[in-house]
Amino acid sequence: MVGGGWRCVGVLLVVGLIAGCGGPPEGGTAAPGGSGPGVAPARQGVVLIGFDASEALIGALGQGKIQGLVVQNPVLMGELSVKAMVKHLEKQPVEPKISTGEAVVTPENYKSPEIDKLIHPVRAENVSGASLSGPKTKKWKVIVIPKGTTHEFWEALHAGTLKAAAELGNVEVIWLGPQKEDERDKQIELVHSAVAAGVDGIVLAPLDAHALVEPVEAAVAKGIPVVIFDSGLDTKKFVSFVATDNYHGGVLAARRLGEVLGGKGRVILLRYAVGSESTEQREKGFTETLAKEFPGLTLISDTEYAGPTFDSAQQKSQSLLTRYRGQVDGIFCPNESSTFGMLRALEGAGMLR
Amino acid sequence: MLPARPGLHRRLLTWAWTVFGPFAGLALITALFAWMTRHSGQFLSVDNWRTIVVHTVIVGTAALGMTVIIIAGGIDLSVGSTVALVTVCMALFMKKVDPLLPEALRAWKVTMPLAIALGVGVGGLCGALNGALISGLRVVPFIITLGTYQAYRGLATWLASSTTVYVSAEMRPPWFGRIVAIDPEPRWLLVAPGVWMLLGLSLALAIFLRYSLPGRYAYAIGSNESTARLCGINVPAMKVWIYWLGGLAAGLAGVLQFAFLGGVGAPTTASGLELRVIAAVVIGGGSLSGGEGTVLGTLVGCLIMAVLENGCVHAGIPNAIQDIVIGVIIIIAVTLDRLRRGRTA
Repeated sequence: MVGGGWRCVGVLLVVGLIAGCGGPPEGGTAAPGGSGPGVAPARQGVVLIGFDASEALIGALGQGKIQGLVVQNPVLMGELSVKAMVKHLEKQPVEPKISTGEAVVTPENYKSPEIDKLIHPVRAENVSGASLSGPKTKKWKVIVIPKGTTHEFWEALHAGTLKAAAELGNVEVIWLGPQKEDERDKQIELVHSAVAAGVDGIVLAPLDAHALVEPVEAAVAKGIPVVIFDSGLDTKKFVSFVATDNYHGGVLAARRLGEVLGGKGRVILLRYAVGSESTEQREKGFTETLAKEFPGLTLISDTEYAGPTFDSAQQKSQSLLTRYRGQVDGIFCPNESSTFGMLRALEGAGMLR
Repeated sequence: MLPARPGLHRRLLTWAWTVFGPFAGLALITALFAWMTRHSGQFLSVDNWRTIVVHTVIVGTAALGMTVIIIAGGIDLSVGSTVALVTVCMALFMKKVDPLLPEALRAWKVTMPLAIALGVGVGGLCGALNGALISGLRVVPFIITLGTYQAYRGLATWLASSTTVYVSAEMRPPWFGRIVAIDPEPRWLLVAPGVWMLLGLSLALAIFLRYSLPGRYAYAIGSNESTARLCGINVPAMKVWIYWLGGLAAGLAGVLQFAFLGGVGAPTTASGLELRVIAAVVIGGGSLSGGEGTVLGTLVGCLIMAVLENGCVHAGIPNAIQDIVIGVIIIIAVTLDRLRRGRTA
C-alpha cells in the first residue's frame, strides 16, 4: 500500500515536471513575439545606468549596453582612509568627513585620460600582505576591513591603502575582510580579533550601519581608534568618515538617465540591500532627483533588492524583467554586483538596445 | 594475573586516548598558531581567548542539539536556516508586538524576555516538525532536513519581506547585548555570560545522555535502530523528541545570534552554519553512522574551529587559505579518529 502511494506521488511528480518543463518555452517564445510589435514604436531597448566600474561593466559600456556608470575613486578612498588613521595616531587633527569624489562615465567619454584613470585603477592582489602577529616592523600597525573581498572595487581600494603605506613609510597595513558582503557575523568577529591582536587602529567599511556599532564602540573603549570608510555607521565614536558623496552619486545617475531618455519614460530602481548606508544614500539621491528634476520620468518599481552577490542580483533582475517586459525604459542599479546582475539579465532577455 | 595486566594497561590507555584525544588536537593547533604568531604573543593573551570562547558560543549551542541528533543516527541540515528564522521572528516580534503591549507590561520591559522565549519556541517547533516529518513520512533525515533547510530560510526571507529587520537600540535592554560581549560585565564573570550558559547546558546534557533513560535510548537508536525497536523503544516518538531537542538548541543559538548581531533580524545570516556545527560534532568524535559522540568532544570540536578561524586572522592568512586549512583539518581529525577506533576495537 505504501509502495502504491509513493508510485502515485512519483507519477504526479513526473506529470508535474513534464507540464512544468513544457510551460516556459511556450511562454518564452510567445512573449517576445507578442510584446515586440507592441513596444516597437517606443524605444529600441532599456537604458541601464549603473554604479562602480569593473572590467565587465566597462566592456559593456564600450559596446553601448550600458549608458552610464557613476564611478567612485576607490584608490583615493583607500589612500585617504589610511592617511587619516595615521594622522590621528600621530595626534594631528583629522576632519570628521572626507569626500573622495565621483564622476559619470558614458560611452562617449570613457576613453578620455582622466576617466580612464578612474576606471582602470591600480589593483592589489587579494592577499593579506602582513600578519597581525608578526614582528612589528613599522611604527604603526593598522588593519583595514572591507565589506567583502570579491568585488573589484575592494581590490582597487586595497591598492590605495598600500599606496598610502608606501608613501608614509611608517605604517603596516593588514587587509582582511569577510568574503560575502552580508556576513555580518564574520565582520564582527574580525573586529573582535583585531582588537584582541592589539592593532594600533582599525579602518572599517561597515557592511551594516547598525550591527557593527557595538563592536566598534567596544574597540574605541579599549583605546583603539576607528576610521570608517565607504559606508556609514550609526555612531559618532569614529575618527573620520572617508567616502564618496553617495547621495550626489545618485543625483548624477538620475541626471544621466534623464538626459538619455529625454526626460520621459518609465524607470525601475533595483535597490541593493537593506542596512547598507552607502547604497541607500545613492538610492535616495536618485529617487529624490527624479521627483524634483524629471517630472516626465515615473518610477514604476523601487521595492526590490538585489542582495549581496552577482547571483542573487541576476535572479532578482530576471524576475523583475519578466514582470515589466515591454513596460520599462530605464533602470538604475546602485552598485557593481546589482549592475552586473541586471546587465546579464537584460542580455539574457534580449532587452538591450 | 600476568595476562590480565596488559589488558588493564590497555584499557586505561584507551580510556585516556578517548577522553583526551580531542584535547590533543586542540593543543596541537593552539601550539601551532602560538608558534606562528610568536612575535606578538597576543594569540595566547587572556583577551584573545575571551574572544575565541565567545566566537564558540553560537556554534557550540547549536552543536549540543546536533550531538544528540547525530548520536541517534540522524542529521539536521536546517540548523542555519532555523537560526535565521529565529532572528527574523524575534526582530519582527519586538518591532510589531511591543507597541501593542499595555503600558503596565511595557514598564516591566517584558518584550525581550518574551522575544527570547518566542525564539527558543520557534526553534523547538522547527525541530519538532523535522522529527515529525522524518518519523511520519519515513524519509531519511538528510532529505527531510535538506527540504526544511530551504523551507525555513524561505519562510524567514518571506516574513522579513526579503530584507533585514532592525530593532531600535532603545528596545534592546543593555543586558541582552552583554550575553555575548567579549568583556563581561560584571568583571568577576571572567567570560561572557553566554559562555557560562553553554557550559551549564553542556554539563546538563552530558549527565542526561549518560544517566537518563531517553539519553541511553538515543545511543541505542543510533547504534541499531531495529534492535532498539525490538527492545520496545518507541523509535518514532523518540525521534520527534530528539529533533525537538535539537530545534530548541538551534533556537537558543538563534537568540544568541540575534544578540551577537546587535538586534538585527537577517534572513541571510548563518548560512553554512549547519556545516560548521556538523563539522564540530564530527571533529569531536561523533560518528555520522550513529551511536557515537560526546558532549565534551563536541565542545572541543567547536573550540578547534574557533581557534582555527581566530588563529588564521592573527597569522594574517587570507580567507581562501583559511577555508582550505579548515577543510583539511576536518578530514585529518576524522581520519585520526577512525584509526584510533580501528586500533582499540
